[in-house]
Amino acid sequence: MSIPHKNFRLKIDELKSTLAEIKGLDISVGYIVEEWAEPQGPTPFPTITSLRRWDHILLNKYKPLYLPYCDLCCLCTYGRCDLSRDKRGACGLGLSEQQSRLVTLVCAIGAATHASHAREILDKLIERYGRDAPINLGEQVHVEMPVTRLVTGVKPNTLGDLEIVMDYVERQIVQTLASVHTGQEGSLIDYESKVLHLGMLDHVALEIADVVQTSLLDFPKADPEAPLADLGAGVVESKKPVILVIGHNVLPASSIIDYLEENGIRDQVEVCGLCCTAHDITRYEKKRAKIIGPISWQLRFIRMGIPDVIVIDEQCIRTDVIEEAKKINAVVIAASDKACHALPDKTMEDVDKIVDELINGIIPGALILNEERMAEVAVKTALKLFSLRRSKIAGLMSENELIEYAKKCTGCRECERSCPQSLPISTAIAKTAKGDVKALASLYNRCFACSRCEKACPRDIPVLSMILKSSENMMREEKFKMRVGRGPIQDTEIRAVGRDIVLGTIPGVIAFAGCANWPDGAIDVAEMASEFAARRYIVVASGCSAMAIAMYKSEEGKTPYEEFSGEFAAGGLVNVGSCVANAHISGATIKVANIFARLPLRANYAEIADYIHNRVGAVGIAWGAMSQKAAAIASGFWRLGIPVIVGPHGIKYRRMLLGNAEDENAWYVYDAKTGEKVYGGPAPEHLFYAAETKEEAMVMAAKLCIRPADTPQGRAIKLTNYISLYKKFFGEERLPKDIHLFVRSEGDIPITYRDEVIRYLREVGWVEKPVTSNPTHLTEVVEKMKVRES
Amino acid sequence: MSIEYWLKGDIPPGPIKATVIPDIKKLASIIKQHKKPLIMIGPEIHKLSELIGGDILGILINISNNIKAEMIISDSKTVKELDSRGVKNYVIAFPLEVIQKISSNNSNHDLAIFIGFHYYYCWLLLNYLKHYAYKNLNTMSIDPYPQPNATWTLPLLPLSIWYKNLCQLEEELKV
Repeated sequence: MSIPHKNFRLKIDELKSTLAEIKGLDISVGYIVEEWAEPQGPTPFPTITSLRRWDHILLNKYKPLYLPYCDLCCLCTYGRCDLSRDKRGACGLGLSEQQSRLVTLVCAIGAATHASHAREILDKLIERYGRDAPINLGEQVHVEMPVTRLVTGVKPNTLGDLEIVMDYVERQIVQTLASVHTGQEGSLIDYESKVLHLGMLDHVALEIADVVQTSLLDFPKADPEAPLADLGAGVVESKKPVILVIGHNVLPASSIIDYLEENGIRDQVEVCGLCCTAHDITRYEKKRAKIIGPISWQLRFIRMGIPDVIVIDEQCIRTDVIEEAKKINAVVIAASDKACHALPDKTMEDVDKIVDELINGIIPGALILNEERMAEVAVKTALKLFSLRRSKIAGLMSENELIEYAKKCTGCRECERSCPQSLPISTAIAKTAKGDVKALASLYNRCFACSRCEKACPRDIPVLSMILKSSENMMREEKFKMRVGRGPIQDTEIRAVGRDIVLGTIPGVIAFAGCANWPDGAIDVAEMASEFAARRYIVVASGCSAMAIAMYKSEEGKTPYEEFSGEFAAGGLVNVGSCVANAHISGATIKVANIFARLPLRANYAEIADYIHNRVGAVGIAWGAMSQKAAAIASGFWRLGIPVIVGPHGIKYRRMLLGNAEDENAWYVYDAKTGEKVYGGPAPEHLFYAAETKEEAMVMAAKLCIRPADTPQGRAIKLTNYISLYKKFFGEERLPKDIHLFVRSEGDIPITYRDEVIRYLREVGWVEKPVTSNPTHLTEVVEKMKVRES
Repeated sequence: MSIEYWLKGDIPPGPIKATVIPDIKKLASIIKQHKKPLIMIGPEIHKLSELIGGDILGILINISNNIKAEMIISDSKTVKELDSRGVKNYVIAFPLEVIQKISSNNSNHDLAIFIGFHYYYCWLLLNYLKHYAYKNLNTMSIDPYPQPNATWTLPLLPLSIWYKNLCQLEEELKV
């Protein structure tokens, strides 16, 4: 147990004296934690090693497969050390351990970033509303913070209650990060256990950030009918002054909206956002604020010349934003000390003086660390700058310039070699030089506007700007509808679907999360989400993936958010919100175990994770995962035993967690009732997997929803989807070659494919296998079951 | 330096890097020295075919027949294309699971030839095999971009020349 200031703890169930009567008091030095009727579980405030045994069970089943991005280690002055093949570095570390160490580092960065974000929101909202401000997620949510309750054993009621949780998260991140130092951890399995620990902490931080902002900033509270917001570069009214907000922390952006409202000028200024701040301003202002798009729309939108003022808060902001803003005579206001960008600190200066300096180009931007003052500067600057700069800025280049630039190209292909997507740029430019821009425009959807091509070009051709010019009409036509992030899942929704999820009669919960580093554009995410929703999976979305899903229209002109309901139900499409709202996805799986199965929640991590892993057919798809935060989010799902699929770029996380279906010994579970070891099958087969194509990802996702506890009916439904997706992509006459591994008895065979499957089972010599409806990896669950039975 | 083409676009991850084979006869001779090769074909093969205006899949089918190499396919478009041509000697399998299998000492494959994958994806698949595959397994990239983590790779050449080389390789491997 690692409660901060744990040296002293006083717990009194009941005390009567002449002076006072005390009931349910639990005091640690510095903090008072309200007693919770549920008994304390085995792992309150877990340290690095508290859940190590559970981690090792998972990691024994899903062995790390390392794909090194670098064969060297350059982290200390012993080195550089070549770790190729079986070599070891001067400190004794081998290549696999180094990869696991780097994965730990990546996840520590991600978890620290979310923790810092959560801390900032918590502190500022405590400052604004006080420690006693209540956590309020609406009338339909009674298990408010399932991740926090599960991990720490604290049942928070107010913002003040979260301080102890936040302290714990920060302390544990520091402890775990320290293991990466030279001469600390030496085992890859223990590094991987630390990765899982960081992931768990990350989800606590995510939950704090989103619950606090949802409670106090009046975001939708578990509302399946949250309004639809406008999304796309084409939805912005560029005839008004435009303030573009970029990042993840909604407080600066919400202050801008407050300032506009308070001064009665909301109609005069357009406020639009990119990345998760965009999500959260639409949750704050509902229908009015606008979303440009995911993170990779930054350069696209800035180079269109539309924003007058760019406000950056934190995370995933282009670090060359000042240079890009200068090109269009816009100004940048930095609102977080985590991203100062060498701007002068104007926090304490007179607002009008700052505005003058910005308008007159004396400074390219300003760092203002007070939201209210920042908002005033942003609005006043936008209003004044708008008329001054719009007459000067043409935005994208002319068509003649486009052709002239194309003629400068020598076809050296250095742009292609630098392009993360390996786009056929030189061929497209050659066609453009002859007046045909279609090939160049066709790159738009696959290009995520990193501009590496421009830096690589020996002739200084602005390749990205050329791509944008060729697709200008496409960009201006980007007008979509996205359901505003609804926050948590209602307890009643969990009650309604919990049984079907656990029995398998709802084939799975597919969560689309993560960034915008897609191999073939946003449409793949939208198509995958629509396919699974149409198949009656519960589809959940967050972050840039939730935006991607909106960027597609059916033949009827509807986006998936207009086609599918926002309920957490079979066939629903649920946008939980920004990336901190991912905690509501892990939280929903935890609530299935707690609300539906009535497992104790309080500090009972391993048992709940074991339940989820063996029963709840949930899979994450982070098709464009790019950041360290995405890695931390994924690892939080892994510790709960939930598989995650990433797109091809995700292979750069340099480690997969793969099961080996052919190794029968790896797939045994205990029958919780008898304690006997029973073959549970390769279910789920992998824990972390990088698919190369969306077809592969969809087939894999359907397969990874399979769980040992599926009822025959549920297994048959899951196999129906697995087989039908496989047939859809790889031929109607084919069955997946591993189908026999997932058929335990004849009752599992899907009716639709019965004859075909039976024929195949005979071919491969399939024999019926025993089935358990109570699978577990934990001996203590067997013991508990015995006690309950007796 | 003339053969270190990747230095312009990509940086090898460490000191062990591919031998660049600009001579197609030599490349064919290397392939012929292996007894149990397989050809891993990725989904980008169609984009390459479109760019070059040639039948790359047809070339690979002929090569696989001539060297008796199984083709491993993971994308639906290639599967449909092979089915429409009546090709049988291929297996549908996903790349990560394949490299997991062929890296073990139970695998009897001695050469894995890669073509048509997303560049970065293949780069890391090859680096896994470079470090962790059983020592009898060699790897080769015949993509138009050099892959520094393969045992052998083609150099960076204009697509038209790369295509000619591929056609020459097909000829050289004819039985």
